[in-house]
Amino acid sequence: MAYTAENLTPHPHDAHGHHAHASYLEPKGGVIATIWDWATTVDHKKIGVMYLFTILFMFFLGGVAAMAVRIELLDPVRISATGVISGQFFKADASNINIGNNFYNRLFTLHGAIMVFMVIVPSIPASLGNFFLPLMLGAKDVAFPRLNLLSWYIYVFGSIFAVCSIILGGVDTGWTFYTPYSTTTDAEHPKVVLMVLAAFILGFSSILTGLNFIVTVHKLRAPGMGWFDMPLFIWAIYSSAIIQVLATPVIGITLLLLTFERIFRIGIFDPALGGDPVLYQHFFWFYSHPVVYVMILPGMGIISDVLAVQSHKKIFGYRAIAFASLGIAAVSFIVWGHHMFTSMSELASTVFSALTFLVAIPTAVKVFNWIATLYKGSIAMNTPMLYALIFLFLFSIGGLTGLPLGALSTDLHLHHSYFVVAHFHYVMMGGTIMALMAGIHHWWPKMFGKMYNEMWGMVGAMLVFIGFNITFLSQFLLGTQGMPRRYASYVDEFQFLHVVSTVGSWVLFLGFVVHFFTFVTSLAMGKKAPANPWGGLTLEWVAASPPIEHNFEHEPIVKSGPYDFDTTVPPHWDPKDYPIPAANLTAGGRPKMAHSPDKER
Amino acid sequence: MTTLLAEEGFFHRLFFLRRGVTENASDTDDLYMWLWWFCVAWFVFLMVLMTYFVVKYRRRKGRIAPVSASHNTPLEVAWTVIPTLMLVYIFFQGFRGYMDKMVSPGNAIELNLTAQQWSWTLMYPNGAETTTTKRVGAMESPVFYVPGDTPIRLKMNSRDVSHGFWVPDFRHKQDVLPNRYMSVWFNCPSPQKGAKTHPLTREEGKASGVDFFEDLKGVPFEDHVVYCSEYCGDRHSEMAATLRSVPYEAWKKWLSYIESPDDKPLLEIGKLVYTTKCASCHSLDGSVGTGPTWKDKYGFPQEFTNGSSIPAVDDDYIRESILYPTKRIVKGFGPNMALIPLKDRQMLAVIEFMKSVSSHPSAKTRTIDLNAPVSPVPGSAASPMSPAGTAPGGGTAPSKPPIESPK
Amino acid sequence: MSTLTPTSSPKPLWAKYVHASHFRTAAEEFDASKFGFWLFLTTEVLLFGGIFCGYFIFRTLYPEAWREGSHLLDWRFGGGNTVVLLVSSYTMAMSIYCIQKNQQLRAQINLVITLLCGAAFLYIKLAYEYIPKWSVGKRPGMLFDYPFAESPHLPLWWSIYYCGTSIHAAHVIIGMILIARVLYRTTKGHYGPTHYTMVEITGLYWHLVDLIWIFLFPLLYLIH
Repeated sequence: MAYTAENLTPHPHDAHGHHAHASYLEPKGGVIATIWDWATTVDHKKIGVMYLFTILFMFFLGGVAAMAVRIELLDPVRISATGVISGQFFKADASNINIGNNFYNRLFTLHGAIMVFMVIVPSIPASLGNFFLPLMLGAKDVAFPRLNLLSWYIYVFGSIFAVCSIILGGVDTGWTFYTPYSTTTDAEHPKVVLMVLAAFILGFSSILTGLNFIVTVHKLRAPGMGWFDMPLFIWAIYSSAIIQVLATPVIGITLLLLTFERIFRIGIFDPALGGDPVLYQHFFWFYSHPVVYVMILPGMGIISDVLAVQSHKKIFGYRAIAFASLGIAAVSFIVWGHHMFTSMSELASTVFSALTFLVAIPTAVKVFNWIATLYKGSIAMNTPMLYALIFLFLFSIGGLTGLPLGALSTDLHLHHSYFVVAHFHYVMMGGTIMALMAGIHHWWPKMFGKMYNEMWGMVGAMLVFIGFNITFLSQFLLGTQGMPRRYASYVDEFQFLHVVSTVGSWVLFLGFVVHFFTFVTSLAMGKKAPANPWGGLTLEWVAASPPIEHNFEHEPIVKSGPYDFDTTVPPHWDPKDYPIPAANLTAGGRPKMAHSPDKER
Repeated sequence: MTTLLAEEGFFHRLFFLRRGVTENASDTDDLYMWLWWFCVAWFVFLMVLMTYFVVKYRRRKGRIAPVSASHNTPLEVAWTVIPTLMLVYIFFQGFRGYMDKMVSPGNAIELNLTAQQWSWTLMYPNGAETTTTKRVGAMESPVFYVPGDTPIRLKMNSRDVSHGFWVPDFRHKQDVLPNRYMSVWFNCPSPQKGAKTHPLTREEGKASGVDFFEDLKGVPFEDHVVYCSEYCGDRHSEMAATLRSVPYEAWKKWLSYIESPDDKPLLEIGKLVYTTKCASCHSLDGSVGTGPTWKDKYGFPQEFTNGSSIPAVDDDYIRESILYPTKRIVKGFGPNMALIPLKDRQMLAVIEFMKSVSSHPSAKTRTIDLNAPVSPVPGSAASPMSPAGTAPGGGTAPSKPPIESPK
Repeated sequence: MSTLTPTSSPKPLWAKYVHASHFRTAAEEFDASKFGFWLFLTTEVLLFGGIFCGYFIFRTLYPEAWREGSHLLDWRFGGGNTVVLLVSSYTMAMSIYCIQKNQQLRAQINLVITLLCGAAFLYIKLAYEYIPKWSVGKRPGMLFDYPFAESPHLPLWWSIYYCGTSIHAAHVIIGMILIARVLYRTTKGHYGPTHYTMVEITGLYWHLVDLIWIFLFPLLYLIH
């Protein structure tokens, strides 16, 4: 048996009542008491759940904005933007172009700003990361629980700033706030300043979360858990946290300077005063490129874990994946210029293009490792596994389409076209969101103690998969054919593909609606979940489903690797249900060496 | 890059619709199609392998995964080194094509391009600017004449925010910035056999949407659309242009045609200036844009944001608006108008044009019918004056049509 | 037999401190807190890094504006502020030392001096630098109104100057709030030889504030 809890540090029973052994979800009293309990909690699990629901809600809002954007694009000139205002849907109207376009511009800015700052960046680390980092490490909580709660409130506070900006009419600068447009648009300052400050505040939430995670990984691992005994999800969250801590301050100062530029016209981005708009782009992308790795690395961590657990198979190339995560984090800081090939010098563009290809290598290595993990596995087919496979499919397309974007001569055609839009949706949504869905389903029984309906879960996954591809594959073609991005209207020859893309978005939306109902019915009347439904070996499966408030009855001691499926009976499983063939064990019960020498353990 | 790679095959047409027009463009297409098949190969390989494993190694009751290697150094080294070499190759191919696009030949003709919210202006070597338009999407946008089979370099600058100059047919774009010059160069081939030709009459021009020019009758041309590729605000999607390539000799005739715009009636100049510099903010039909509509503006009273007002919008106010855009702003609007340098003749033309869309009595101008027969001077020995409005008799000389108000 | 045990003085709060239950020992908690705070300080360095980056870029582009601008600053005030902050860093470090030796009163005196130095810094900045300069038109960006400017890019110099020093001043204020809180809690006996985490952390923050100024001062005042 490995990863079991042993009676080394006796639990001080006198300090707690029965509640200490109740699930963390157990209400502490009436409605008011329960709300107050959650509002003042320092329990990482409750904070993770609060983040999860807030983020899913923001995902819904950003998604509605996207649906509206796509409906507008059904007609080459005008569908509903002015129509919504005047109450007439589907009225193609070429007059009042400015008002209609302005509304559209605010819609796509809203979609981008919500999705980037309020959904994808915090999505996995703040929700699943918060919930499972301490559990996987065998700890009772993160290093700074009160800071954790503060970071959630900062997230809510920043989101309120964004909502205020939206209520005042919203911003039309694009989520990238490029100068000089962002410093000169809209005579009144509050709309732009509120949105910029919202992003600034949300940055602090991200920094505090990352800081918390780094210290937790360094200081609070269970006895016996060395760096290379940690699940790969932790390596991913750790690498991502390093980026969060180092890169986010730069967007902080950038947004602060942008606000000063707007209100006081300090001039550093204003050509009339000697400033440089491209300087803003450099500052902005110095953060915003590393942040896309903050978005994807935790997703990759989930995929590593889900694939290994659902295949009951040791992950292939553990150290390669661990070091690749750190490598991606490091290289992510030196490639930001590939967002600016059309506004930089030839020398700078050449250097950045070369460096950009560098970051493709550890990413490709990871994909190979994942597929090799499936070899000779024992692969269950369920919703988490299906989402992991969907991730491999969609993320591969996303990554491969990065190649013509990283190559200079093709990028000169594809930059700021729909090709880029398709590429980043494949990696951000086809990557991070699919991984988030995999993780939510994989860990749902642990988090809520209930099972979800497997069939409907897979139906939802397939709808999402099909809808996603219809929506975004067509956009690659739009891009190469010459359709620029952020266009409210377009020439007739692009209409067919736009219609296809919009219809795809409806299928995609339907998939998420199915998931919503699966989640709700599971919480209301799902089957009670066992402690270890999938047979995972990492410490979170030692805890109860859902875990007790202090996570573990007794501090667990780590005895073997996180993915030693071939030699280890999973916690809470009956050895009769998991018969390890004698061939897998050496005499004396120790793991057998494989034919090609396995130096890892 | 070989041309065996389906230059005009199904997939190339699917991706690009039209061939890359310049040599650099078709090189880019070759690289792109090579990358496409590279990606397809890798993707199919990986997905087939993944699917095969998932099916073959699906979970069966009572079967625990056998011990198998969790790492294999030779394999891992191979799948790190081989992709790295491939990526190095891709980088170099991209770099080569990029330098070809960025370094213009020494004998390129330089034209000056200016971007502003939300239109493009091209200045030809003789100092003349854009003089004709074409409908792209929902709006009229400027047409820039360029000679085929000649290297052209555009020196680009923006008057306000960052824009982007993208010619999809050339597979090339650069941002257009306010604080420095950026440049693109291209050499598009002269229009081939079977290309469209300029209209032979004014009526044919109206029907085809290509303006009629006496000097360019029957000259072949090829149009390439230009889009603004850097988001710049309300009419970002309406900021298009057309690059029209004509044979070199025809282009020289074009230059001499536009050299003396003084031949053209003020109203025609006014309409052109309006379409290329004012239409993005000022409508003609009464609808509200970034700036006030010009319909029924001339001659009517106007209030301003600073509380003052004038009894009638007149020539002086229009001139002041152009020269000092934020001095007196029409009530209900913001200080949005950029300083748009217009020559005196252009200002006069704009005034004429604004008059033509106003119903105020003071805006009526007496039109001169240049087609009417020349009446004999009273008191001379010729026949008495014909009644006004008589149609011209049979004349053999080609006539200029009467000056009309724009639609 | 009656047991008349002498009433001992109540244990001070710091002696009764119990570390958070998710840490195994108090030493682990202290280590973790310091480590976490060093990470936070890294983010502060990167935040100011953006301003230094802007400084160097525009200095390269417009050296004449930079030369003129730095001459318009009085190094005596900048130097005075540097001395003030250095003294305050010393007294802050001393207060930590005193706490470790359980010299509560001396610790509080040192903290008070630190606060006074911080206030002096802000006063010198405001009264002798910001207000006089603002009133003659030496202002950032489009607010610039100084009639004797030689370089057309002088407003940019002033933008960098005001951005850098005002964001720094904001950090001085934050630091003073933290020190005031520590001072208050010291009077209540929260900190002692076995528990002084918050004092250490506040000290680290104050040293960073000082360090940033040590970089700003020569770049703005001394280099011509």
